[in-house]
Amino acid sequence: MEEIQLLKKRIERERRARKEAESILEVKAIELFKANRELKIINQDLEKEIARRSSQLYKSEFKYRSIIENMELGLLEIDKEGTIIQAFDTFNEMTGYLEGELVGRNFIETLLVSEFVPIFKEQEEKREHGEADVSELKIFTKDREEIWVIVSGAPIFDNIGNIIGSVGIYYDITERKNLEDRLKLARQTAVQAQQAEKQFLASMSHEIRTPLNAIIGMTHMLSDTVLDETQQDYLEVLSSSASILKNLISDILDISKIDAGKLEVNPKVINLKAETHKLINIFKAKTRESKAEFKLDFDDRISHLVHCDQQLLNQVLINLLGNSEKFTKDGTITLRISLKASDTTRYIILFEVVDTGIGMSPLELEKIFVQFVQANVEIRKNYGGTGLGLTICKRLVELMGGYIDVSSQQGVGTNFYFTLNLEISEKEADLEIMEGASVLSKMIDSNLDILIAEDNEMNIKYIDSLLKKWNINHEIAYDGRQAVEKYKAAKFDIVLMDLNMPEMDGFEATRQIREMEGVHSKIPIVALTASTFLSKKHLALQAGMTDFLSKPFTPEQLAEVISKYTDADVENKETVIDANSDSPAYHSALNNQHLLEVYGNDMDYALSMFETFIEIIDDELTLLINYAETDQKEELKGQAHKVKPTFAMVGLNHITDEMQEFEDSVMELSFEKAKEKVYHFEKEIKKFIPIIKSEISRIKNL
Amino acid sequence: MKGIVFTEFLEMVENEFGYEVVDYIIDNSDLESGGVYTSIGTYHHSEVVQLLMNLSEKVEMDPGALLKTFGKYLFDTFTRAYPMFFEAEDNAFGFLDSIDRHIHVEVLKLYPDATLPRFETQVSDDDVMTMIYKSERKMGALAEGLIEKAMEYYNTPYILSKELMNEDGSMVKFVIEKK
Repeated sequence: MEEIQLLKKRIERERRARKEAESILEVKAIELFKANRELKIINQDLEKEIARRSSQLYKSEFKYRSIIENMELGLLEIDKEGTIIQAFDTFNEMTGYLEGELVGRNFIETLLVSEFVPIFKEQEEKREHGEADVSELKIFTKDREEIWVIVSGAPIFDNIGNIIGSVGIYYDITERKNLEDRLKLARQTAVQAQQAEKQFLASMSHEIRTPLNAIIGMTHMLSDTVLDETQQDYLEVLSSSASILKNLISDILDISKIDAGKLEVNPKVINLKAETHKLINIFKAKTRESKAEFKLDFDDRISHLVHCDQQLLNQVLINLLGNSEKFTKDGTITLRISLKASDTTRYIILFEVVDTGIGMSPLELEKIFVQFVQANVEIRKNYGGTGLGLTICKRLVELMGGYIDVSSQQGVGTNFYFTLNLEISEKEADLEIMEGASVLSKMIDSNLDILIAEDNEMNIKYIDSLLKKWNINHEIAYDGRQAVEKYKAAKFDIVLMDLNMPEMDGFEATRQIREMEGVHSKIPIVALTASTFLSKKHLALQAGMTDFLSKPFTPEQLAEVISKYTDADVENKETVIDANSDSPAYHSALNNQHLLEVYGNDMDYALSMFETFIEIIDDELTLLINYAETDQKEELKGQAHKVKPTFAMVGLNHITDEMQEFEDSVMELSFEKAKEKVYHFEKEIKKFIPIIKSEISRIKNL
Repeated sequence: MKGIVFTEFLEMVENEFGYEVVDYIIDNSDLESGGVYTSIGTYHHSEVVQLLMNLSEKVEMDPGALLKTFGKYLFDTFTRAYPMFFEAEDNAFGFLDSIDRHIHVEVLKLYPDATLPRFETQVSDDDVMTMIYKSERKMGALAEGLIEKAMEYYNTPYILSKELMNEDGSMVKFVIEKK
């Protein structure tokens, strides 16, 4: 009974559980139905979207296709076997086929020119790997005419990504190809012609040079013969024309060498500082007559020797300096060499040639490096030249691995500049620089700058001539004040200082200079003194002077003292006189030995000194007499001092000596005594004036 | 709690102790469902606790031991009813790891309102797995039975240690070491 009861309960429980399960399932079924319906709606939306996008895609494809067609690009689709699937309008037009005519035909057989089959096949192979590419082919038109096309091909895929063929975009380049061929031919002809022209120029230049050298040589020889003035003039024109022609030809020869690639850079170890010094000195010497001043501004950080083709570098710098000289009649031309960058093995050096000449307009600047083109027509008229110089510079700089450029302003000046990357020499720098310095010192035209403080015209003329002869730069101060001013304004290597000068004497000037300079940079100051008194020399030393040079001095003595206190080794080649040679004899009343020591064989020099003497002596004498007659002792002493070396310069050494005695004693002399002495001088000097004058005409007629 | 736990629990009780015991524990519990369960329904978890406690009293067995036995029983049911979950893994650790990451994710898709225990696993080296059981139902013993049976299912000899991580047993750490 209990068991039945239990069973009943169990059945009841399971019935209820089934019902519950059924109701849960019903709920789930309804949920499923709803979900299904939502899915359907979503699906429909998706299908609509796909349709819309497909249509867009079709439109855009159509759009691009029509763009391509409008651009005269022909479209052609072929399958993998090479059968034409579709040929679009422009392609048909290009090839002369009717619409649909090409479809189904084989591309290679129908259209491709046979020699391009390998190229085409290669291209097709690429497309099979999905690559697009471009090539130039020849195809046949319907009339079997060949046309050039450029083809860009790309694979066509089906909707599951398999390659089913390719599409090519064709552009007719027949015109362009023909033009290209014509151009190639023209270019070839031109190159050949140019080559021939270069060859011609090179050989002609060479051929012309030989007779031209003969013309120049003969012109020189002719000028040594006796000619009248007109003949002389003709000869000058002949000579200058010949050298212009020679320059022109050597420029042309250079250019043709560069063009032919025959010019090679041969770097050697050089001392850039010494070389550029030499160069600038040549220009300084050359242009003594013109007013242009040459300067070298060398960056001393360039302390090592460098590997450089000096010949090429010099050619460039000479060209640039010469060019600047042409356009700088009055002003400064600076060769500036500065270090831009360096490491342990290389210097990057900036070379500049800066002038304060006439400058150029921007338009002229543009043409400046063009072969045979000068800034403007006027230039050739006024300044000459071939218009090749700068072209050569440009090529040479490029050959050395640099680049030349120019900046300029009209009326202000011009700056040509280039940088070179130069290898630093492995050799020990210090040793080499020492060697370089000695090389420098061996040059007569050294880079010395000398300041001369002197008030006596004859002395000035004397020193000026000697220094010019030795190619030594110098400046003249006419009194102590000027000397101090000039010292302040520029850098000098040595000062030659007269002791008695107007405005400020040599002692004071020396003191002021010594005050201005640093402890370590004492400039040698050599006193020029006629005084034999030790006390004067002692005073000079106290004032800070370095040494003495007694007046009157010989060129040799001057050279010696300059050599002693500077690096330069100045030699006066012409002072060595052979007593037995037929050297010029002066009037027996003059001190022949002294004159020979001073002037050697240089009679022009002696002449100019004698002429100067005659020019100044009257005025100097008048001053002397005036001071004596008005009893101005100080002034009288000064004038005696100033005028005394003048006499020795014309061989009147005894007057110089007497004048020295007078100078030393004048302060103690009475008014009358001094006057008497001055009159004695006047008489004595006047006695010699005719002799000096006769010497002048004698020398002139030598 | 999912209905399958109830139907399987009562089936186990019937198989082990007879329907009289099933009837007894139902009648002696205060059940909202009235003791009527279907595997696809959802019922309050306190009902299974009441049924378990009454069973423990009736048969005089430790409720933890009963729950562990039920866990083993339930595992077999799962392998029959949901073979795909077991075929998806070829080793015991892989399977245990897949409970939280995969099986429960699927369960939640079908029964979004289900409250499921968490099994956070971590394999420290190839042979040792740490599993942290977290559930407000505090049925760590059920989990233990399931783990043991899973190791047997994949024929993997093992050593299992268990550590309560809090007093109420809602967080239990199992360390399973392959032998």
